Amino acid sequence: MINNHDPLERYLSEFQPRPVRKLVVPPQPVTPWLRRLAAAAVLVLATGISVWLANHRNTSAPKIAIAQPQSTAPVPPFKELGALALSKLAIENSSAFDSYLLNQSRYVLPNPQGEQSTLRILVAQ
Amino acid sequence: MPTQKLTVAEIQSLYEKHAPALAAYACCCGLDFASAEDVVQQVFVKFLRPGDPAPRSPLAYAYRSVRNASMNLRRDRRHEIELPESETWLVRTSGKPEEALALQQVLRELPPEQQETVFLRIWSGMTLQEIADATATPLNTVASRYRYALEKLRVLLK
Repeated sequence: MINNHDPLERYLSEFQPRPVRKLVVPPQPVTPWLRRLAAAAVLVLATGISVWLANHRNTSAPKIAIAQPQSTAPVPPFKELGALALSKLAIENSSAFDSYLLNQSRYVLPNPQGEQSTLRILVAQ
Repeated sequence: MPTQKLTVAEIQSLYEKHAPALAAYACCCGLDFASAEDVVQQVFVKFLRPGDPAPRSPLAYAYRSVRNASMNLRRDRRHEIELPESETWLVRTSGKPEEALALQQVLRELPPEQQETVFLRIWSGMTLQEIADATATPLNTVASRYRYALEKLRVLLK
């Protein structure tokens, strides 16, 4: 390997190192850019699937019918009239009297425990 | 100082050219030939790792790595019984195998720096300047190491 005039160097260079086995190159791992690309693809796929699922659920989910409260006629404030006023109203304006009674029935429940309650009368009959 | 990463082809070329001398150097550090081959393989496989930067002088780095790995392996095996030296890691086309064994024995008696210098000079074919550059050692120091090594070998081989 070397060319010199020293007899010792010449002597040493007569010896050769023993041959060794071939280098076993391990399989190259995935390059970093390929790894990043794969990660980005997975991310895009996951986002796409979640968006699609979210949309799909919105369109396919059965619509729940929400019962809207029926509009009722505004109930006029109840004003209790005395017996005299009621009699007068019944004579002068029967329709107003009827509407008064109807209105009163919305506020005043029948009392079943009273002596002259409708329920008692019905039971007695 | 790390430099540009070596290609697989460059590493294989480096291996083919220097692996025998490196294995012999590992044997000189006290390993059997099979272990020396393993150590050299491991050092070169390390060059192929993607994360590691390439050393400034791959050959000098390889010699140092082989020396350290050999020392570590020897330390790990210190409780094992050593067989008498009969394996040759230097071969000579003409001559008796005993001469190779005698030279091996003598090389082992050199200090590690002198061993490294002799291997790089004689069996890796580097000039003293190249050795100085590779080992980051002043040229005068390398020349002295080489001179002392030859003097010692001359005395021991008589």
